[in-house]
Amino acid sequence: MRRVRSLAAVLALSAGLAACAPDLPTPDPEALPAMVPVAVGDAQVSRILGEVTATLSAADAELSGDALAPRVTGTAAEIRAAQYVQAAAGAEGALTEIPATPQTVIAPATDTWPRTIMVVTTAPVDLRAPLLLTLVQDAPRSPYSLVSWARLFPGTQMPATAQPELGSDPVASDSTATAVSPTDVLARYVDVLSSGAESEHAAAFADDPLRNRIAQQREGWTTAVGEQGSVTETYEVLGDSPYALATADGGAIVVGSLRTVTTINLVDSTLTVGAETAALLGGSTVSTSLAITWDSVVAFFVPPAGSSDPITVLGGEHAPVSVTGS
Amino acid sequence: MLQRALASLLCLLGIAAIALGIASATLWRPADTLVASLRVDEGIVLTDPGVLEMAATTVTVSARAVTGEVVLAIGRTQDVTAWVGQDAAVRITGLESRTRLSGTAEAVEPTATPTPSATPSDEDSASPTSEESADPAEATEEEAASEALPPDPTGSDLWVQEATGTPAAQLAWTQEAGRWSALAVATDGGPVTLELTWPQVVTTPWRLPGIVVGSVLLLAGLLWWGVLLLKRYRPEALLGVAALAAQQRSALLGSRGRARADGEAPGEVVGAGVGAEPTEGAATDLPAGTRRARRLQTGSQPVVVEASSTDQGPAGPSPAGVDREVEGAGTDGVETVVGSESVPLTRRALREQRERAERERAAGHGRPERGSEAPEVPVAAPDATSAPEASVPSGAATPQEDAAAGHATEPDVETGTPADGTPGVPETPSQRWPFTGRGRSARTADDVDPTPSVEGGPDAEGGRAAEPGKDAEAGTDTEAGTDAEAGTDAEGGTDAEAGQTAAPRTWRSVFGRRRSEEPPPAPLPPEPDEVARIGTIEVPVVPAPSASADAWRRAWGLPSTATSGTAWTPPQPPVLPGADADKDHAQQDDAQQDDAAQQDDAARQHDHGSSTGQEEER
Repeated sequence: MRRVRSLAAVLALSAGLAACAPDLPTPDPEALPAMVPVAVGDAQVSRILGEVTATLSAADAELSGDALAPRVTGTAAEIRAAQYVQAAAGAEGALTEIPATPQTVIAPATDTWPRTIMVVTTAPVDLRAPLLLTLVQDAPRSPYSLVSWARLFPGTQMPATAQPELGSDPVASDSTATAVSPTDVLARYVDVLSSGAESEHAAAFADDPLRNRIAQQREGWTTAVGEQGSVTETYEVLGDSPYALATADGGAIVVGSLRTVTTINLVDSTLTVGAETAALLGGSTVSTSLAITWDSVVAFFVPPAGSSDPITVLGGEHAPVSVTGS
Repeated sequence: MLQRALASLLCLLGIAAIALGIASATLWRPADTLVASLRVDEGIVLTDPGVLEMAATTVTVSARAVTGEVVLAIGRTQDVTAWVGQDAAVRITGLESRTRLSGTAEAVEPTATPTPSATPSDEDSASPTSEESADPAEATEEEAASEALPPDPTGSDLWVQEATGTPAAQLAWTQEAGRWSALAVATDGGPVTLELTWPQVVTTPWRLPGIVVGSVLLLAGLLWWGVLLLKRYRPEALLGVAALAAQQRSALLGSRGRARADGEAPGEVVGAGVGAEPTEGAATDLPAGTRRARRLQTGSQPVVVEASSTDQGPAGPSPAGVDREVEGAGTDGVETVVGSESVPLTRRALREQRERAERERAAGHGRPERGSEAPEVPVAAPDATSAPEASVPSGAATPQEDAAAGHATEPDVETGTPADGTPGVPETPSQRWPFTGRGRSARTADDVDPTPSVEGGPDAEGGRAAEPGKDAEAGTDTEAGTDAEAGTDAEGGTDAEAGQTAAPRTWRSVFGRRRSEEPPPAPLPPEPDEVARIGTIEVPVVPAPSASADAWRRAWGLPSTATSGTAWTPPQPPVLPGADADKDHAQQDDAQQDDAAQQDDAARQHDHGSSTGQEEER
């Protein structure tokens, strides 16, 4: 009996000593969140903005549009390249100043591509309006690039958006969550631009400086040409689809690009263009025709579905990118 | 047998447990970091979500390429997996061991719906775009070789941290909300070793339990052993401790006495040997000073007793005087001497001695035996006193004792005794009185005594002689002792002497048979060795015995054989050097005696069987 007990004690002791190897730690990842987390953090946005402005300033120094890739692409690159031409021709203030400091970051909450970051910059030093920058990453191995900037109109109030730490949901081009889908917004805007007050969508858009400016320019050219020619202007949506991020109230900020082509046909007359256009044209006078291609960036606030509020244009940019003529 | 084995095993286990407990906290203390790595031969390495944080909230990620550059990055898991896309990659899923990561080459699980349009079209643009700051030439180069080379994650906006190094890169990561992964790529497509290092909180949970359990086991084992041992020996121990003790004590006493006597004086005169015994017994009892005195007494005993035995009348008062002395001196030695004087006194002395011995026995450990020894001396003494021929042996014995005593620096006493013996009986009584008184006075006052001039001189001298040789502390003792002894010696010394001739039987009966076997006392001059031995054990040696003898003579008013001045003055210079050597002798002697005693004891105890050995062990 004693022997048995002793043996038991011995066994218990040895078992106890043998069991002292600790367990291997195992991965315990955070569960996949119900809501998609923000895709970029503040630090990343800052770094991206830094890259963009670095690229811009490098290109600005060379006045070379080729240097803008890959950080500046799309409409922004085209406009910037035109500005370089103008600047190279001696135009003062041709380059739009793009502040690198963000005022508001609208970060996407997404795990898909393309990804869009919208950034409202601080106001430039010359008291011009702050810019709404749109940065887009097309694919995982692509960098974010500046695709467009829009000057916020005076008196514009940006809609409330989610905190950048949470991220704003991307809005699909054909989303029905908003009163009008982003794609339709742009199309309707083009229609309004084309048809003016006669457009069935005219009522859907509040007046905005961009549209007014385009109209004024058109009027100007028309007036200038007068009876010696004809002025026609076409508008089209530029690019595959607008970029849209949801706002706090369920609406969306939609940024799209438009292309405006102003074609002037002259009858027995010559036209002397201004310096800015001349720089793009390569000459100052045309005798038969003149084609001016404008790139426009428009930023809309589209109210959520069910809202009767009009779509407001937050900002825009309108700049010639190429001029041809003979 | 089994029980013993188990008890031993318990002890061993206890020790082992303690050792293991300590080792677990020292030798085997886990490392402060957990480092695990995995080598991937080619392609991309990335970690599953949670791997970075699996062992600690902070981690150091390092990647090493065999050759060339390695890029290390951390990003959200969905970004990393999306970046990797369909490329060959090894996912690290966890730990395989404490030093090795486990990996799988399975395709990354599609956590997100990949953008169908972007992937194919962007393949081409991806590599150049990642080369943001690189110059176009390099970009085109890369493009050309892009199929062979893995994609370069450098500069991607997806990464929250990124490091590039040749051949190694390192990143520190602290846990953040979300799911994060690390990614490493060797830009030349070579092997990559990814290593994760987590700080660890090191605990030593087995230290205390190990020590506690081990101690308990060890204690239990020892207790068990103890119980086993007790069980084995208890019966014998219980048998007759008292009886055994009594028997053995007496046996021990006898044998020891015998042994001692044997050891001390193998070839000596019996009287001297006999005399030595009580000395020893007393010596052990007494403090150093008295012990010394004792020794001297024993030597002197034979001499004087004769006188007292012959002279009954004066003997009566002398004991009283002696008694007084005893009281004053408070030494045992005196008593033994006293005991030897006369029968009634002897009994009283005996009683006192016994009482004292008992007291001492009760008080001390080693004493009882010796104390009991002492009483035996007086027992023999009565017999001795009655012996008429005492004078002859005393004379024979005295020279030896004398020499011994003389060495012991108590010239007056010892030398006195032999002188006593030699000159004749009549002198002793008269001398005794003054002497004892003298002794007392010397003891108390330590100065010149008012009594007889003859004695006073030597006594004082003797005292003085003793002092220089001895320690200061012992000085007074010695004096007292010597005086007292001198007094008693005069009376009791004879007993021993008488004992030589008449007592053989009695001594024998008391101390054993061996004595009878010894050759009869021969009146030989003491061998130098012997003398030194006896005298020097505690007392400084006087160079020449003749000097002490002379001093004695002078003390007693006898014509000195030597020049009076030199008799007792010289002690100081020669004493000290000789004393040491003598001491050695004495020690050897003691040892011999002890050995003899032990042998004797052993012989005695053999009768009791095997139990004696065990007893001794205890």
